[in-house]
Amino acid sequence: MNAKTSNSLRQFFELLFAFTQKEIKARYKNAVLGFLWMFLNPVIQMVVIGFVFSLIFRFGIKDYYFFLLAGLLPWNFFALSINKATPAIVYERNLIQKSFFPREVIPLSIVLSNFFHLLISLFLFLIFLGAIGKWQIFAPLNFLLFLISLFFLLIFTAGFSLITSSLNVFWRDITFFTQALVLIWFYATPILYPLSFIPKQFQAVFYLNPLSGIFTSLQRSAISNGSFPYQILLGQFLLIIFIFIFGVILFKNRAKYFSDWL
Amino acid sequence: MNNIAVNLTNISKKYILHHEKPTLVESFFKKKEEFWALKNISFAVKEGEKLGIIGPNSAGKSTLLKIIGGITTPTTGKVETTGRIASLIELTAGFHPDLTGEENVYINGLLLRMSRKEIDNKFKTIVDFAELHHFIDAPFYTYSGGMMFRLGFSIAIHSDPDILIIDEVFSAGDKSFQEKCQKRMREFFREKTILFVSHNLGVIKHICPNSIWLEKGKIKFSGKTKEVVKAYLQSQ
Repeated sequence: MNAKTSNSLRQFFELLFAFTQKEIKARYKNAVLGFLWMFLNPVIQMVVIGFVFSLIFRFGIKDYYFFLLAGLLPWNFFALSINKATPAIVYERNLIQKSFFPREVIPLSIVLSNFFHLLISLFLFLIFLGAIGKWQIFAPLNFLLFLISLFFLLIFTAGFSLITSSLNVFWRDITFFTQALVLIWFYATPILYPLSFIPKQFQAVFYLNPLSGIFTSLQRSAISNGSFPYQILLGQFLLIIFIFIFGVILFKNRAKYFSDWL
Repeated sequence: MNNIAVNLTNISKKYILHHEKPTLVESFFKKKEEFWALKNISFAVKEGEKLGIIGPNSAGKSTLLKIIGGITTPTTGKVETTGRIASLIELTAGFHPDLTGEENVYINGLLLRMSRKEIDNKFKTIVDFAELHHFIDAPFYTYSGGMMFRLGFSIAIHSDPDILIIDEVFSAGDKSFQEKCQKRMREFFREKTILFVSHNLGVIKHICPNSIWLEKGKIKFSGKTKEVVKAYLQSQ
């Protein structure tokens, strides 16, 4: 029994890895410049969006450009992943009707391939920060919180995509709800502005958003020296773990009936 | 050799009929229409047995195969299977057009529950059997239908399943490849468990000693293929 479980676990990760690889490869296979686009895309994004935004809004923040990118790049990962993973089970109906395999790999491979792209763009961002002498992010505490925040962002995105993608099979309008939700969520999360700009009486509401702590610490690790909202982070990390486990259980439970609804 | 490979106890399957796309908004207002595709199906298949399944359209044959293959879950009842199952229902479902033949072999092999190492070891044999040496690193959208079928069949057969589910295949591929497939199938026939769905009663008689006749989600008659087929033909 034990050998069997480890066997199927290994198989799950092999399949997840292969699907993630497929996602990444298929995206750039037909492009003339091929894999160069993986680096070119985030550079263009950083230059254009960052430039435009930091000219128009500033909120009186020093180094607004870096402050903005530290939140915007991870947010793009979240938004892209959710918007692509939510309808993914329905798109892969052919495969699900014809073959038996752990269905989790479909949304999770989309999340992981987008995370891979996030890592590339953050790598470029770090080089950029290092090159112009903004070294705060490389301080041990800042860097640690940067990595932990990214990790929990990944966990949250994975859990949330399991929930939305499985529900979308049964209610196809879930895709539209999540698209709208992600749009609203962007403005409800401290990305364009810092958490400290929120009026005191509304701050409690912001703590209910499981992403507010993550994005605050991403911003602070990029441009400030220390001072992280530890209590909020701890509470939200627990909430994120709970959402992830809920997503895994819900998906497992619903996956049995996917092929009946596709 | 007399172990049970597939055991079904009181399998029933209910579907909810959809006339349009299901939506959250709608689910509050509409009543659900139900439809039973299978009702109280029980049978066992021994290891190495070849069982034919016949019946008119929409008798529940495909639903039955999906339940055995783990693709869908029965509403009530219990399915037990031992060993690796491969279904030759749609051989090319797991292929991605933008990837090369080689990349597709790995993805499809993993979908058929092979391990990466196993595919590494069998890769050359799979490609040799499909006769695709020159094309294996070309993108899949350049493949012809016959080439896709050959590769799909080759992967399925080399995934070394214990139970094989076959639902009306073998129409693609040229004559020599079909002969090769049938030869390989005959070798396969000796030791493996096979569940065979077909409207071609001649093939069923040739391959399966025992058969089940499904009609309207119930087993109408089961036993020796000769008798089942005879009764089935008389009823038509």
